[in-house]
Amino acid sequence: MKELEQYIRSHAGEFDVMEPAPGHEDRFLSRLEEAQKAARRPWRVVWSAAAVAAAISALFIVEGHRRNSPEAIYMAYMDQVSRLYADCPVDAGEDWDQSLAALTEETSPLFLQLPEELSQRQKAHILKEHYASLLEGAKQLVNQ
Amino acid sequence: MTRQEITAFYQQHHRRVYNTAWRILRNSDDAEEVMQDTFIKYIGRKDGTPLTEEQTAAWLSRTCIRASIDRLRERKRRADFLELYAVDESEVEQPEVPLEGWEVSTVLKALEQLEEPYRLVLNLVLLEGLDYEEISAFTGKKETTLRSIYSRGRAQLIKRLGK
Repeated sequence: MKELEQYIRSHAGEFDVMEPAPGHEDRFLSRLEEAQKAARRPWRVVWSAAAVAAAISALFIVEGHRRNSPEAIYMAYMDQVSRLYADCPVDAGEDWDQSLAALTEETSPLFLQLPEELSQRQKAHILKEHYASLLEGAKQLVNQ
Repeated sequence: MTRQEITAFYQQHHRRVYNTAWRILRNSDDAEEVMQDTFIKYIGRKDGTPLTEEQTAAWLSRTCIRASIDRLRERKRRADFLELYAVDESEVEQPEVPLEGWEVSTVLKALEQLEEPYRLVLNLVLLEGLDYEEISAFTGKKETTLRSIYSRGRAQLIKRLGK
């Protein structure tokens, strides 16, 4: 081995001269806690959101208006999201779950936030565009 | 792992992992985030097979390098990553210079002053102990390209140290 390589390798540990900013350990532990919570969260959120949507749709969906019903569109979306989780490889890491959750979760579903003034058709158009875009991203993630 | 075990594990390895990330990214915030990601991934490993001390260090190192390079690549998405610097290895052979009396700090400073991608490749070869095949897997660049970058970077380093 050449002299330069030998010198650097034999002193490798001494090249570790940088230290993270003070408080790094607390920041790490706090992030770890968040990550562990998030890793447990996606399934629960998806299924609870699906349950809420199912309950809402059971109350509000009127046969004949189903195709443009905001609730039905949301239900269809949640069904697609649940399928994506089901397609998750068994050995997929928590990164996969977290990314999918970040792409698909809504703190408050959009269909509950649209202005009352909009017609059902207008709402349906907005929701379909919005959820199609979210699903497109999620599908790209799954197909990586 | 219990919280106590996690803390002990973190304290044992954080400096090495942080420095690995820092040498690639040269940004303390990014390096800390990559370091945290690396530990979180390790703790969340689905494969619970116990690793030896050496395997653990290697796992942390490889994961950190991969994440750092991914982040670097993200930063430079629009640039020609490494490609720009491909040269003929024969161009850059330089005579050895004696290393007697050198200080680690001098070598470190000279390494840090190298431009990309020389600094990255020299760090990965010299300090992280990766071979060209591994670096190629991380960067997606041909081994011959990496060898050329290494040779040219090494020549620059020797020149700086010889001054």
